[in-house]
Amino acid sequence: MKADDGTPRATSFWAQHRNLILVLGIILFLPPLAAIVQLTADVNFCGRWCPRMFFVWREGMTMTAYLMGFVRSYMGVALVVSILATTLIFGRYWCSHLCPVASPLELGSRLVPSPLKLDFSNTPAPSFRYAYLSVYLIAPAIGIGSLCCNYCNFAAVPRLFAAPFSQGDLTYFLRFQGVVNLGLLLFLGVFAKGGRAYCNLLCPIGALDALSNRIGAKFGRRIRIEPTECTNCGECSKVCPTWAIDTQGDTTINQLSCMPCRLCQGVCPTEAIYYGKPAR
Amino acid sequence: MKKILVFIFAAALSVTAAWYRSGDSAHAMGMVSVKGGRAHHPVQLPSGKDRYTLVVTGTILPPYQGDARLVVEGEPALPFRVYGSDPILDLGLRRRPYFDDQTLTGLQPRDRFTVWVVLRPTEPLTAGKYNLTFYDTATDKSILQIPVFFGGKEDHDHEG
Repeated sequence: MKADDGTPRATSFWAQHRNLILVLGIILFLPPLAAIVQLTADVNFCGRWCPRMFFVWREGMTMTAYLMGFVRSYMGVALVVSILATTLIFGRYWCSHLCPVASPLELGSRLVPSPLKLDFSNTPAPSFRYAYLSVYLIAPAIGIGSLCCNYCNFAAVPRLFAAPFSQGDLTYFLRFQGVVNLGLLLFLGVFAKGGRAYCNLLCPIGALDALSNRIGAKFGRRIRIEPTECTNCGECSKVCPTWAIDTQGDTTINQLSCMPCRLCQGVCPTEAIYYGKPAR
Repeated sequence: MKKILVFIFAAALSVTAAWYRSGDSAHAMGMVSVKGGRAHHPVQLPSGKDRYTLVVTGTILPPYQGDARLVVEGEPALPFRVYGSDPILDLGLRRRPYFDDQTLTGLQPRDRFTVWVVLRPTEPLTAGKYNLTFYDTATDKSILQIPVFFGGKEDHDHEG
């Protein structure tokens, strides 16, 4: 069987080189090299590259201040727009292959022995995720407080990589909020089965990207199941890092959680899973 | 039903997380200028902690350029340390100010900077006011002053 991108499944570039791409993302975006962010004289995702804060309205804010947030974080705006646009057509490749904030969590989780891993797959991820996103957007607007910077994976992960070299970045973790962020990264990342519970539950960019993935599912390329080939064996569900595959009844993929990591494709004994456009 | 319960639980947890502040850190923002600069808002911290961390971010307004030293002023004197946020491996792709010997060096108009200020009171602070003041090293004039209040309402603004 051929994948819909024109290459045999086993030799698809994105499937074959995913680990390498994950590592490249880390090297290019995160300290100590952080080459991409240094192009704009930055050292991490805060400031010009912040992808999380510009779209959040805060109590007492003027429209000018809101729009200035877009200007201040222009690289973050460009990044988010690019992510959402490409996801509409190709699926969540940012999340599955490129995100340097998620990569260390997933790769790190592979180093943790299975008995120590926490399984969150009984949690209905979209319910949790969009409750969090709702509060993320509403709480600052009505003055309750903010989840933006206080619980930020895009702030914590780069600083985790920089902390061994920089006292300033180490300082980030030597306070209550830093400890909480580190705990979340470990608890929902490194020690989570699949390493993607943080992405699946608490990442606002992941939540927006998942919406884009769901909206574009009718015309874009996605991981899909060919029902006539599927035997409902459940092997795909066991390896899915975002617990997007439901094997109760006919096996289905929830496009509100799926990303094209292709791990399910690799284990499907009947090659019923493919990446492509919807069947006509 | 399970989905609805999880939604409600997650929303309640998120609201609590958004509302709660430990009060041991805050974000101070300002704009540096030759006329003395402008703080975006004062920092308010609860008293009684043995360590406070402030992330201080700012922008340089034209025509200021030079080097700036940051000090924490107030009575009784408050021990502090300032840490920079420079690239670990500076690839030299773009000019940027750097932090050296407690001083932001090579500031140019429209530059942005981030420094971390760690305050370590030797005895528990009660209510009081301190200032984070940036001095131009060439003229010793204040180019930005950010008030820090202890013992007041906690700062609920975002942090870095």
